[in-house]
Amino acid sequence: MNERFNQLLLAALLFLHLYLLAHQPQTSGNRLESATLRVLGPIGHGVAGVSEGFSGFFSSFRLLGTLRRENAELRRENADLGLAVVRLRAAEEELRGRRRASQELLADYGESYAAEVVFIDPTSWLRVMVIYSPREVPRHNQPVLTPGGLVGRVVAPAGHYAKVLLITDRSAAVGALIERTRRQGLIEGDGASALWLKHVPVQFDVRVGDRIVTAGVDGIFPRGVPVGQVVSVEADQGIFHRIVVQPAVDLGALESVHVLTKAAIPEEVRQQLGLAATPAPGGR
Amino acid sequence: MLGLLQFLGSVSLAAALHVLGLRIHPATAQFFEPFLIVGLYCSLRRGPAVSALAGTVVGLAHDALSGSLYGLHGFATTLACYVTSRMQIRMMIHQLSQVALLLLLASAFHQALLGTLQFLLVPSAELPGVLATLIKMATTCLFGTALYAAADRAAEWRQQRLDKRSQRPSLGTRGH
Repeated sequence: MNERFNQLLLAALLFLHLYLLAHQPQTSGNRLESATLRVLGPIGHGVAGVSEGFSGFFSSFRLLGTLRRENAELRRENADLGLAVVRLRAAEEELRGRRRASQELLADYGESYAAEVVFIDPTSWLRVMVIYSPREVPRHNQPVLTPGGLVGRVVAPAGHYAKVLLITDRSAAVGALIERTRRQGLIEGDGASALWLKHVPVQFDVRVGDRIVTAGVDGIFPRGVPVGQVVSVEADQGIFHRIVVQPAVDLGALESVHVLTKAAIPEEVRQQLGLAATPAPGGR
Repeated sequence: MLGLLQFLGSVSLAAALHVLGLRIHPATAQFFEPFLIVGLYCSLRRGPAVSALAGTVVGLAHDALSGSLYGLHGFATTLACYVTSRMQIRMMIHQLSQVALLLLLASAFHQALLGTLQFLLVPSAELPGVLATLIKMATTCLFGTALYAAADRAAEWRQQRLDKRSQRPSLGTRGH
């Protein structure tokens, strides 16, 4: 009898569990679960509170040690920072000296002033950048370069800010020549990061590695500014070479540039000759 | 009545240990199951009917505090406690080594039941690893046996004290 009762009880209990398993509420727990949780919840909360209290008590001890360590570290850091300030001052002086030197280097191309690169528009594949010159006001068609080479020209001045059309833009064009052979051609941007040297007939010698410089024939850029280096030469089906040129300046990593104040042809001469105020090579 | 209160106290203690373990490290629940220890201890001391009821209470308490299906631990713990109690009575297990072996087997049975139920009811659920299962079996066996031994020792000590008290000579009214 007792055995039978045990078995019946077990069956009833297992049936209860199976019923509970089969009727899982989707949104909230069933009443039995809620009641159990209501009873055991405060216990868990109490344990959590006590454990937090304990951990807070021990962590305050740990904190004391940490504070001492941090204090010592901060003192060390303070001393290091003092040294760093001295080093930075020295570096600033050095930078000023270099800036003066680069301006002297660019003096061959005429007077120039420095300008910061505000941003380069990445959506246009580095074709346009905006510069800011705190002291000078950029003017239209002023050449923009670095000691490394040619960057572009000012196309849209706006106070101390100006938009610069990079030489890699499809609409940019620069009169250029191969330094080794003095053969002239026309540099055009490919719209990405390379340049084309066009209008060089196939009978003229062009080699990979040849340096390309400005020819000074377009009335905007002075002669002899490095433009880039030939990276590939192919004989076109027509009468000209297909020459790909790597720009001399990494246009994606510019932080500051120099703007030449005088164009290759002075504005007065340009007016006397009846030339347009802005010859705009490349059509802009 | 005292037994019931002790049992409820044990369930509360198991809940506290469960929460404490989770607060120390979330993985503790995979290796240590205080609810099962309480249920199995009860089944070693009581008959199958009480063991099944205790297993139900303990299992549902575990289900309420864990994120599993409500009734999953309830089912497994009820059956494990009932079977443990039956085996203990039938084989007359009282020695500590035998108790330890029984607890180990009961824990393995419980894990197997849980795994099967999870596999059948929640096919997408991640089943516990072999190592975690083995560690849980070991901890259940270890703590369950320790609890059993400590309770035996406490009962012996209490009995000795009672015996001493009864043997102490009375300072009654002889001689008056």
